[in-house]
Amino acid sequence: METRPYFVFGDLLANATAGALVGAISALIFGPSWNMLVAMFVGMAIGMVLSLPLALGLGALFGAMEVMVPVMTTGMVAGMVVSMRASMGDVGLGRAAEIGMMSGVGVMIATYLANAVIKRRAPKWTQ
Amino acid sequence: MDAVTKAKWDKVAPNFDVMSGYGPEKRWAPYKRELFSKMGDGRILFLAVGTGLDIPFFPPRKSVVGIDISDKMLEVAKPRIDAYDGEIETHPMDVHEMPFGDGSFDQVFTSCTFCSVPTPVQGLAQLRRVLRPGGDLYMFEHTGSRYYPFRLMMNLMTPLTSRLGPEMNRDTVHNVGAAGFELREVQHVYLDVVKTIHATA
Repeated sequence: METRPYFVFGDLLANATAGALVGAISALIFGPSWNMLVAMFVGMAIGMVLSLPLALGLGALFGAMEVMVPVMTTGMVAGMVVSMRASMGDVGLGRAAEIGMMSGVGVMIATYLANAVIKRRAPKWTQ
Repeated sequence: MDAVTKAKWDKVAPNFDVMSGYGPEKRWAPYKRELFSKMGDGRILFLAVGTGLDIPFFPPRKSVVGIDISDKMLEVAKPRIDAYDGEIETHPMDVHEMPFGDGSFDQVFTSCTFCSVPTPVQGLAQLRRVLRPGGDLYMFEHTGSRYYPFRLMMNLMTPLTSRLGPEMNRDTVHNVGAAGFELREVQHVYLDVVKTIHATA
C-alpha cells in the first residue's frame, strides 16, 4: 500500500477532483427525462472520457498507472451514480459534485484495498 | 525499421519527460532501483533507453548497450547518458532487427517497453536470441489487469492510448513465456498492472 504522503495526497486530490468534475457535468447532462438504465451506461462512458485528460495531467505529477487506473474508475463510477440519481429527479450542481467527490474517495479507498489484497495474495509469483 | 512506431516516438520525444519525468519516475524509483541492482558485470543490453529516465537508477560502473527505435529519444537522453558513472553505448535500432550475434549478452533489461512494441512475442524472441543460454531477462512493465473493473477500463482505453503511445492491456507475462523464456518470478508493484518480471533464456 502506498504510504508516502505526497502520493497519498495526490491520489486523494486526483480522485476527489475527477469525481466532483464528472458529477457536476453529469448533473448538467442528465435529468428526469432519461431512462435510468440508458443514463447509467451513457453516464459511465462520459465519466471515463471526461476523466482521461485529468488522469493524464495529474499522472505527470503523481504517477502513471497509479493515477490513471483509479481516476478513470472514479469517472466511470461517478458518471454512473450521478446519472442514475439525476434520472430519478433533479439533482443540484453542488450536490452532484459532492456525490461525485464521495465516489472518488470511495474508489481510491477500494483501489488501495484491492492493491493490498492482490499484493498479499501474490506478493511474489514464482513458477 | 518500423517507420510508423519510430515516427510515433520521434514525435513525442521533445515532451516525453513532461508527462513521464516526474510523478511516474518518483513513484517507481524504489522498484526500478531494486530491479536494476541486478545488473551484473557481463554484457548488458537495455531496451529501450527512451529519454534516459531509467539511467539514474542504474548501479554505477556498469557497461551497458542501450537501444531505442527513436533517435530523437536518444538525443534527449544524451545528458543523462553523459552523466552516468559507467559506460552506455547507444544505437537507434528496432528490437526486431538487432544485428547482435546469438548469445552475445548476459543480461537484458527493459522498462515500460513491451506495452509499445507492435509485435511483442517476436520482439521478445529476438531478446532471447541475443541472450546467452540461461541469461537473464529483467523487465519493469505495465500490463493489462485480470480483475474487473480495471480490465474492462483498460481494454476500453487501449484504442485511444495506443495512438499516443502505449497499449494498456498487454499480457506481457504470457508473451514472455510464448517467446520461449522460462519465467522465474513476477512481482506486483501496483495491483496486477505494474510489475517486475524475471525470466531466463
